[in-house]
Amino acid sequence: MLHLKNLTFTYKHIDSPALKNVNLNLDGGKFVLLQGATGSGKSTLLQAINGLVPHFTGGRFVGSISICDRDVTGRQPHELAEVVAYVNQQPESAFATDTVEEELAFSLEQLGWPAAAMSTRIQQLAETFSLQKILKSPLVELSGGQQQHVAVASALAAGQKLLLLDEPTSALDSESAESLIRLLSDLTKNEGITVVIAEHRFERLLPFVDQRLMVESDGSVTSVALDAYSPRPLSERRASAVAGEVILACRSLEKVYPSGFALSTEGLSLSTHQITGILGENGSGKTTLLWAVLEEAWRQEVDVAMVPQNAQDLLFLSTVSEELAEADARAAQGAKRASSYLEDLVGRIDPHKHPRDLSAGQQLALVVAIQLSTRAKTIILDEPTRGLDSRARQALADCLNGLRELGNSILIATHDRDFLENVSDRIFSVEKGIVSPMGEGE
Amino acid sequence: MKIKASAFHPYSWWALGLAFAISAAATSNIFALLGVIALVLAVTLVAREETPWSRSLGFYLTTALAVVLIRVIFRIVFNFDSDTNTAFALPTFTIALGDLGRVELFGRVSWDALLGAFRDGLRMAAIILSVGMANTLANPRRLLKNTPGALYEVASAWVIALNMAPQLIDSAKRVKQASLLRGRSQKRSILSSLIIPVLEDTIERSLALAASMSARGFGRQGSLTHRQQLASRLLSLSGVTCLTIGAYLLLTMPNPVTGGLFLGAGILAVLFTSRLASKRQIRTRYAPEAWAVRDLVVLAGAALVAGMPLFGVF
Repeated sequence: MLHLKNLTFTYKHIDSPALKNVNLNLDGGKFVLLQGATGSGKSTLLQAINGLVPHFTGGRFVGSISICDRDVTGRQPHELAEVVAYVNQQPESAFATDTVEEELAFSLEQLGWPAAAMSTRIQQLAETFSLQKILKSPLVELSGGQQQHVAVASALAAGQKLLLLDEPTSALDSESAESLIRLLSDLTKNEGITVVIAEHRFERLLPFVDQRLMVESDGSVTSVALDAYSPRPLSERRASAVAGEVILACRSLEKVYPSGFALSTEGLSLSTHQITGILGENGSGKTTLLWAVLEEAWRQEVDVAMVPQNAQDLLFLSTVSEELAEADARAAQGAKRASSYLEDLVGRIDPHKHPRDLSAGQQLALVVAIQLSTRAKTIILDEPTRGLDSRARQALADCLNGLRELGNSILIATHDRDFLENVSDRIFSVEKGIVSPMGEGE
Repeated sequence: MKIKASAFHPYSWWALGLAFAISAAATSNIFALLGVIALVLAVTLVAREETPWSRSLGFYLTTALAVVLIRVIFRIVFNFDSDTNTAFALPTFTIALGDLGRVELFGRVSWDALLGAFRDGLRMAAIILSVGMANTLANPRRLLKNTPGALYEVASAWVIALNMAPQLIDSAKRVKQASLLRGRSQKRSILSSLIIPVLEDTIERSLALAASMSARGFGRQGSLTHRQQLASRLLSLSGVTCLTIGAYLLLTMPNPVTGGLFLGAGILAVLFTSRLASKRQIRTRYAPEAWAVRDLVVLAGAALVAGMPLFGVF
């Protein structure tokens, strides 16, 4: 159904190709996992299949693509719309309309479906993707999981047989991710759709996939045996939890925001030699809690560094090396350099690259490195594992453990339960703004 | 029963707004003008909902008030000295302009002059508030959704631009927080640390949206060639322009011929392009906005309001 032949693609101003001589044959109705390290070219491969590469990116493209025995080499994305469906990482950035129903109709309108056929199809989609109850709802009011369901439904509205997904679960909590993966698996079985999914955290996908591909760091694509595994589980750390001294004691926080969101927690104190986890779904109030703690730290003049959820906001210089130099210039005397933190996390990154050209995972690692180098005693991280592959996750865990040994206090909020259970000494859960302890780490 | 703006067809509100504007433009009766303003404000306040576009009401009110004040003040400054029915007298200033003669400012101001200026100002204020009412009550996105097919791309660009404003504020807020977190050495300007990240963020989001829209078929041209498409877009834009000019001329000039010609040309151009577009366009519409009975009530009201000056009611 999908054939790639001798496909090579090179971005403008970059010498080494992002994709090198890729040959690929995929059959119909298969669930295909695309693995690869952070920044390896998984997204580039997906976008090359539906024409976004090179039409949206520029660059030099060689090779041929055929889908369903039709040669589609060099076609624009909109010419391929009824053949290939594409869903990116952040559904909310991809919505073109206001409500679920309009969003489903959008694709069909573009492809010129008659109005009657459209409404039948929309009912059908609503049923397949369990959207009946939210058909009239505004998209912004949906949860991340629901948004991703809508994005997939809208992409597949015209009955495409090939679905490409670029890290669709990376912003979802584990429950929503599971439900999305199950849905995709059903689509391959019941509708004969071929699903190609690029994913860092592929462990939970393994029971479902029919084929595994790996984008290597040189841009070639190789096949991986189905039973080949597997990233080692996060290291069983820790030296016995030394009860440190309290750095920051927050009195009980009771705060009602203008939006009506209320945050309430018993006193929360952070001590040296301690990693504190905050576990909660998207929209539960994790980020609000972190900012409340941060403000408290500022008020008490406690040295604190934070890595926010949109980490790339912290990057504003034009090369990686400038960013690192800026960080080192501000860092405390004798602190470990930002560049060495960065190398620990994701290996070497070309120092001349523009920070915005890094992959999401690399950007995050850069910001974490910059903030760690400030040598603040208290470090707050918001969703630090988003977009990191298992190697980088392990490196981050090691790094945090190292800081803990040195006496830092670390506060992490995430929906990534595995990560939290492995690194933290104690976990709090947040639900609708209510913070409660989940017991000491076992 | 609570009347909600969103329950009506957005074009209904514009029809009503224009009707109020027409009848305000056609009358010289101060009480009729005050009546129009009172009605417009009443409708706006009753039907208004809490939406981003409804927040502009304050702006229209301020502008309307300013227009009345400016009109009256100008009348006092650029005054024709008259000794009949004097309201108050100010000293006359004479400015000599050489060969051009001379200009006299201030002087004795008559009640008639004041009343005339007030009436003119009130008329403009009524027109501004009528348009303001339509803008406050009609959802711009729904309005754009119902634009003729030939303007689809232009309309989509508008919708995206409308979506971008709140996003821009959002990312500015985030970037500002971020720079607070990172701290920044003195030599980094606000341009590099705030404006550039915000713009980059905005461009990135727009590209993501464009990619997603394109991947779902947006930008297909159907059987129209590029040249035909350009022609139809130009024609329909100029049609709309003609309509605007025609309406303006009809409202402001005593002789209806020129205005009528423009209006006619505009209507023809719009009809022609939308027929051409709907024939050639590959795109279809899902659930186009339907006209309900309550819309007909609003339209009937609009016809009544617009017709009043014609029937000599005021």
